[in-house]
Amino acid sequence: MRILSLIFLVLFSTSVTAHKSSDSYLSVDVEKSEISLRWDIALQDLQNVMNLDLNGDRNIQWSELKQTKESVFAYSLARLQLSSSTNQCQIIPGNIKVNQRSDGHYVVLYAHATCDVEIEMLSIHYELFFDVDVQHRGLLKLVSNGVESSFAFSPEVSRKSFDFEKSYTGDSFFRFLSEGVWHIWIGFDHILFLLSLLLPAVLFQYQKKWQGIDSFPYALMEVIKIVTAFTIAHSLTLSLVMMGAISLPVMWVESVIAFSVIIAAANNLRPFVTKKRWILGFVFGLIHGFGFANVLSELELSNNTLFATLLGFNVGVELGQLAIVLVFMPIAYLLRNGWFYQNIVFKLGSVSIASLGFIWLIERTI
Amino acid sequence: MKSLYISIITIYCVAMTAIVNARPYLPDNDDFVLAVLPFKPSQSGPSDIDRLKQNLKSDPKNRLVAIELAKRYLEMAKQTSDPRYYGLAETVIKPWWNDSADLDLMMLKANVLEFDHKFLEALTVLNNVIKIHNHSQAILMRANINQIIGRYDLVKRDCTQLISDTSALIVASCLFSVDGFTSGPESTKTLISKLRDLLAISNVKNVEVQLWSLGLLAETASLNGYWPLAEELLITGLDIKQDDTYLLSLYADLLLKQARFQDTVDLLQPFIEQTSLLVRFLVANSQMLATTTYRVQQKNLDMRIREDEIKGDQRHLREYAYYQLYVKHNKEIALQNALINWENQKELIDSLILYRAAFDLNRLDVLQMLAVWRDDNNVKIDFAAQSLKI
Repeated sequence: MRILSLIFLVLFSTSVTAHKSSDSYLSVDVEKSEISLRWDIALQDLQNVMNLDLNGDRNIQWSELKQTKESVFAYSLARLQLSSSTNQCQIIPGNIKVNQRSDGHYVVLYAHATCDVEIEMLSIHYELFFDVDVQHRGLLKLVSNGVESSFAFSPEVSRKSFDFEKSYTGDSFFRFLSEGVWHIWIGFDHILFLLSLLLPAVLFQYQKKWQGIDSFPYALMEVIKIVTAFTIAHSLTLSLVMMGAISLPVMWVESVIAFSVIIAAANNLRPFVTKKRWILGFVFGLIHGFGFANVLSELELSNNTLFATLLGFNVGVELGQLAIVLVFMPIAYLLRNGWFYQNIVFKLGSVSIASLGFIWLIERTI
Repeated sequence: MKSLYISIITIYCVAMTAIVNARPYLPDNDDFVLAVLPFKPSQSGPSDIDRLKQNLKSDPKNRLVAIELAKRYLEMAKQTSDPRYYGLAETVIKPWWNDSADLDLMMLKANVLEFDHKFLEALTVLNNVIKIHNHSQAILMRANINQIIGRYDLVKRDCTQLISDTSALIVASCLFSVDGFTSGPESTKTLISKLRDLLAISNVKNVEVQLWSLGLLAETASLNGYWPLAEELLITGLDIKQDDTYLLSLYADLLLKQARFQDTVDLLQPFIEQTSLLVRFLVANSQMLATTTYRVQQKNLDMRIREDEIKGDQRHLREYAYYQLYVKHNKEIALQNALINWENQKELIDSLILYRAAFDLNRLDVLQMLAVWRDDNNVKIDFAAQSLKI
C-alpha cells in the first residue's frame, strides 16, 4: 500500500492555491535626485533565509526583530539596486516598523537613496528571495510627481527602467477629477434625479397652478440650496464608504437610487415636499454617494493617494453638476412662463423621468 | 442647519483621521509576538527542514537531499495551506528540472506544475512517468488532473488502472468522482449509499483519503439536490478536519444556495485568509447589512486582484469570477474571468459560475458551448438549478 504514504501530495493539491503567495511590496518615491523607499517584507519569508527567532521559541518577537534590524537591512538592500542614467544610487537604511497583512506580519523597512543628479530615468534591479523561491514576486509602486506606476519583479524580469519624462501625464487628483466629471455625465440616474429637483426651481405653485418666478436670484438660491445639499450628502457617504466605515449592498443602493428618481419626479406632478426640496436632495444624496462609491471602487486606487482621489472625484462630480446647472438655469428661467416649459418640459419631462426611474427600479430589483 | 453642517464636517474629519492611522506601526512592547513559526520545538517539521537546507547548502549538487527537502516543503504546503512552500520546493529541484529519468523528481515537478495550474504540462510529466514506471501515484494524480480539466473519459481509464494496486476505497472514490456527476440523481443516490458503506467499513486510516471521499460524496449530493445529506457529510468531514478548505468551500456553497447567509458568515469567519473562502464570505455578507469587516475584507480582495493582475497570475480567476458575479455584480468581467478560467479548468464549480455569468448576460454562444461540453462528457447536473442565484 505504498500509494497511501504520499497520497496527500497527490490529492487536492490545488486547494492550497487559495492562500496568498510570497510577495514583497516596494514603494519608491522619487523627488528630483532623492528617493524615499518603503519596503514591506514578510517575516515568514525573511525567517526562511535568516534566523529571526533568536531565542528559539518558535515566535518572532518585536525585540528580536529590532536586534536583527541591521542584518535584515543588509540582506535586503544587497538584493536591490537603484541607478539613474549616469550612476548607481546609494541606499541608506533608516527605521523599521511592522505592518499586519492578510498573511501575517511584515517588517517595513524605510530607506533613503541619493543619486547625485536629478533622476530622469530610474533603473531598478530586484533580486530579493529569487535564489530561494522562484515564485516570489516583488510588487513595485513607483511614485514620481504624484504619478504612480506598478510593476511585478520576477526571476525572469528582475530589472526594469522607468522614464519619468514620458510618464508625467497628470496626478491622481486630475485623473480622478476627470473620472468624476465623466461619471456624472454618463450616470443618467444622477442627472435625472438632480434635474427633477431643479425643474420646479424656476416655478412656484399658486392655487394649485404652476407659475414662473419673477426673481432670478431667488430661483438661483433655490438651485444652490438643492445642489449644495445633494453635494454634501453624496460626498459624505462616498468618503465614508471609500474609507471602509460604512457599506450597503450594491443592488439595494442601485434600487434606492432608481426609487429616488421616481420620488423626485413624482414630487413635481403631485407635490408632497413643496418648500424645502433641498431635504430630498440631501436624503437621497446620501444614497447616491453609495452609488458613486461603487464606481470609484472599480477604479485603481491607492491608499496613499486616497485623499487626493476622493477630492478629485468629488470635485469632478461637482464640476459635472455645475455644467448641468449652468446650461439648465438660464434656459429654464427664460422659458419658465411659457406653455412649453410648464407642460412639455416640466410635466411631461417629470412623467418621462418617473417612468424611466420605474423601469430602472424593476431592472435592478429583479 | 448650521449644526447639521458642523456634524457632517466633524464626521468627515474623524473618518479621514481613521485612514491616516491605518499605517505601519511600532509595537508598544518588546515581547509583542509578530509571528508564530509553524511548529513548536518539540514537534517534527522545520528542524528537519533546517537540517536538510544546511546539508544542501554545503553540498548543492546533492540531488537526493534536494528531493528530500522538496518533499518536506510540499508536506508543509499541505499541512499549513501556505503556497510559499511550492516556490521553495520548485527552487530546490530547479537544477534537475528536466531530469526526466528520476521518478521522485518528476512527481515533485508534476505537483509544482499542478499547483501553478499548468495542468497540461503536469500531464505531460505524468504521462512520461507512467510510461516508464507505471507508477500508481502518478496514475491517481493524472486522474485527479483530468478531473480538474474535465476529461472524464480519461479519469475513468486511470481509476480502472488502479484496481490491482490500491485500496477499494481509493478506486471507488476515484470512479465516483466521475460517476457521481454522470449518472443522474436517482442512480447517484445509490452510488452515494454504496461509497458511504465502503467508507464506513474501510480499513484505510489515512485522513486525507477519508476527507477526499467525504468531499466527493458531499459535492455530489449537493449538486444532485440532496442538500440535507450533503450537509451531514460535510459536518462529518469538518469534524475530522475543521479547517479543510475544500470542505469549507463546499459547505459555504451549499449554505449560499439555501440563502443561509448568516450561517455562511459564521462558518467562514475564522478562515478568510483563504481567497476561496474570503470570496464566499463576501458573497454572504453582500446579502446582509454590511459591516466594516465586510468593507475592509472587500478592499483586501480588490487589492489581491489588482496584485494578481500586475503579476499576470491567473490561478484565482475562478474565485475572482465568483466575486465579480455575486458581490460586485460586474457581469461582463465575471464572464471574462470565468471564460479564461474555464479554458484551463473545468471542475463543476467552474462550469456553474460560467453558466450563471453567461445566462445573466444572455450569452447564448457560451451557454451552447457549455451544453456541448456537458453532453460530450455525459454530465447529468442541472446547471440552471444548481448554480447560485442571488
